[in-house]
Amino acid sequence: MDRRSIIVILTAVLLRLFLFTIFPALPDLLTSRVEISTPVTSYKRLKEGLYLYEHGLSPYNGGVFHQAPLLLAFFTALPSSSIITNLVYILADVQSALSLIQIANTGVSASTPLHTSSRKDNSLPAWAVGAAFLLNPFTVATCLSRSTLVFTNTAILTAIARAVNGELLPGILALAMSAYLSLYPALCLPALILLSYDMHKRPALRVSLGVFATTSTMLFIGAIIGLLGLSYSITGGSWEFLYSTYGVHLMLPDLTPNVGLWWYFFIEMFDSFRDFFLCVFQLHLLIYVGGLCIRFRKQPLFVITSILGLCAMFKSYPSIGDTALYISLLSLYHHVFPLMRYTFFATSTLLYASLLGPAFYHLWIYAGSGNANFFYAITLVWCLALTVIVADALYAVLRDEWETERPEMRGKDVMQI
Amino acid sequence: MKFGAQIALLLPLLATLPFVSAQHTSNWAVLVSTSRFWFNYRHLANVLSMYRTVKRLGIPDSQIILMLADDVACNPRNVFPASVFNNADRGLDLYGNNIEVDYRGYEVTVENFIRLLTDRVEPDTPRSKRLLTDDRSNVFVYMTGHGGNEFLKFQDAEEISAFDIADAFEQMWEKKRYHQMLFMIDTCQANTMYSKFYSPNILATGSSKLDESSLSHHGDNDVGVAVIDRYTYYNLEFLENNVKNASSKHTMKDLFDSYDIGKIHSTPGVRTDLFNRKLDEVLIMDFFGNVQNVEVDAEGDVEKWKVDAEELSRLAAKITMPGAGCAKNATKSGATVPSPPDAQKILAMKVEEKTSPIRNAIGVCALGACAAAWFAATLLGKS
Repeated sequence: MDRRSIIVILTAVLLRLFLFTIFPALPDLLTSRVEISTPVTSYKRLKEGLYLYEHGLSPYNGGVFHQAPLLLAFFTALPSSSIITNLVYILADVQSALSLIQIANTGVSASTPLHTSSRKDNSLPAWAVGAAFLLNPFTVATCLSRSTLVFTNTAILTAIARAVNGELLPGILALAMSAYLSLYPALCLPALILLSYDMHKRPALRVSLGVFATTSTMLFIGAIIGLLGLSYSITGGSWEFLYSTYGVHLMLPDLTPNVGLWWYFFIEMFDSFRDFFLCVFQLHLLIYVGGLCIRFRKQPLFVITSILGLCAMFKSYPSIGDTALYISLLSLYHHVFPLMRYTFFATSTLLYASLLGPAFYHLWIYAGSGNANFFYAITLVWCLALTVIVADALYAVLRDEWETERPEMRGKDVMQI
Repeated sequence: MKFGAQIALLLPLLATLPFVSAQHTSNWAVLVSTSRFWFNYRHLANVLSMYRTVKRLGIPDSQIILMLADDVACNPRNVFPASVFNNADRGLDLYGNNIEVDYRGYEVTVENFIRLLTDRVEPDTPRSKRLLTDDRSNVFVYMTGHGGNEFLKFQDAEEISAFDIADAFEQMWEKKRYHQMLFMIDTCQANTMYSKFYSPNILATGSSKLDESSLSHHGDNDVGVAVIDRYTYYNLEFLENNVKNASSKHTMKDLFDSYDIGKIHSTPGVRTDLFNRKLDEVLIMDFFGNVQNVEVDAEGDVEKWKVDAEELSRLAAKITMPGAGCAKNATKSGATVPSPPDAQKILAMKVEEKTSPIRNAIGVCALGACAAAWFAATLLGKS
């Protein structure tokens, strides 16, 4: 790890420590913002669950706490001082950054065993990727608000880093942990299997992809079962946590506004259509996995990136932390940015939505002069910006792949016929 | 228990009293303040004082019709919001939080008043706005406001004349809607209002005679207006000092004898020619209180009554003590009656003061297992 990366990490740590100490009211303010904290990641709800857990009551009884039981055990084991908690979150962010820097160092985004981009010299240096994650205002806000999404992001990035290094088992375990914490990273499993298969250190010892995939899936399921079993014992021998954690992601009982698209739909939906639309919305996320894995077989890291981007838009309780993760992973593909067509539009729309979102939320909830439509319109604009970015990145990577076969088309306009 | 207590009360009454068909069996009160606006505070205080009096002597809200403009308690000019006082010492808040106004604001009109008395109301009028009296009801009608020679102003917009009230009372008599009536009125030239009555069993009293104004008693410097009228003040003084509970034996003659022109500063009048009982035999509680007498239908059948009452008391005991009743039933009929299921006592959830060490240990073990799995995997992966 080079000096610049260390400087970036230290700067980020100092920045977070500075913000935690100089503005002690800031974490609570950010925790209460709906764009940053969702019902399944909020620190306030975690504290509520901790209180109930520590007093011998079931933490899932109140219908407020929807997070994994292992977090309860973790925070109970920690000494309860705010400095320790802040340090834990900062360390999680640092670990995420280290994983990202590791991924950037291997250069796998530009050259995989199956594909080498002609623009790989334009990739960002590792420290810049780390900076894109650590100094991203969305990441800083998520870390400051002590949302538990930080742990999920750490787990995902660690999984990718391990897989890129060719270590299958740690990668699977880390992905299992991230899926255990919040359900949706499980969608990255096929791509992660492909990635570790490609990056396997000893190609000579390789088994066929089918066997590899089956073994990995078994390991994943085993890890999930192990984690669920541990949760069963933590919550005092009951399976009720299953509905309160994964059931909430799937059935959407809590309709608190967030930057996603689901809450507004389901507030106004008649009960008889609820199950149908829940299935449709969940399936919508599921359908991308197969297509992306097949089309981008040569670049599984990009599949993971795109799936995380789609999750950031279409999962049940997204927040800006998911967007931060996606943008940081996307910075690994800096070499294809020149091929993207709508960067200015997408960036300005994203900025516009991030500024107007809190304003319209204030108008709706506090001033009372707006209504939910104002805020929902901004979340729609936010999703539009992200859609454009995801689609544009897909186009850019596809074009880059296509140009490796047709080097003469570099710099020329292409049109779909 | 209530049932049993009532039966217990009635039994001695039945034993001592013979057929009680000549007395009243219910008490109603119609209390009307015909003024609105802040400076007529004292009229509202008059009516509310009467309201509190009849309530404390036993008439329930369901048998009181209270007609007020009700614009004083929450008036922006009221320095004591939601409170109405009838005395400068502000010892008693007449408005309080236990008040039931039946006709308020612009509902207090001449038409509504006459419809109320004669029960010619819309089919969808709620029971609380109807005078559901019968021929054994004693009705106390109290009116206050601004009046004149044979008229009374309603809400500064219309008037009711003495003839109208007299006709309304006659309709009530025709429809058998009262047993005896006490009509009390505190306005200027009040006695003219009852001069036109022609129905039997009405006892009327007013605060001042023709060409005489009724005066207010005193004002409160903080409220800013007069808080009570003299006639009503001295009526209340008598009632509060002498008629303290339901067993009071004071008569209407005592009340009327207590009127002192020197104190009231106007000539109160009493009209008794339509009233067939002697005033020293009429209890104040007959009109102001809620003494209920029981009417016996069957004559000479006291033994049957005793048997019925005993059966009722047994029924009451069975209802209040189901266990005892069931046991009696079982022994009587010989068949087994299933006992009621034990009521499950729901206690409060047990909340521990701090985490049990076992929980802590399980948590730490779980975390340790995760960490161990991770390190093992890393080592395996590296090798």
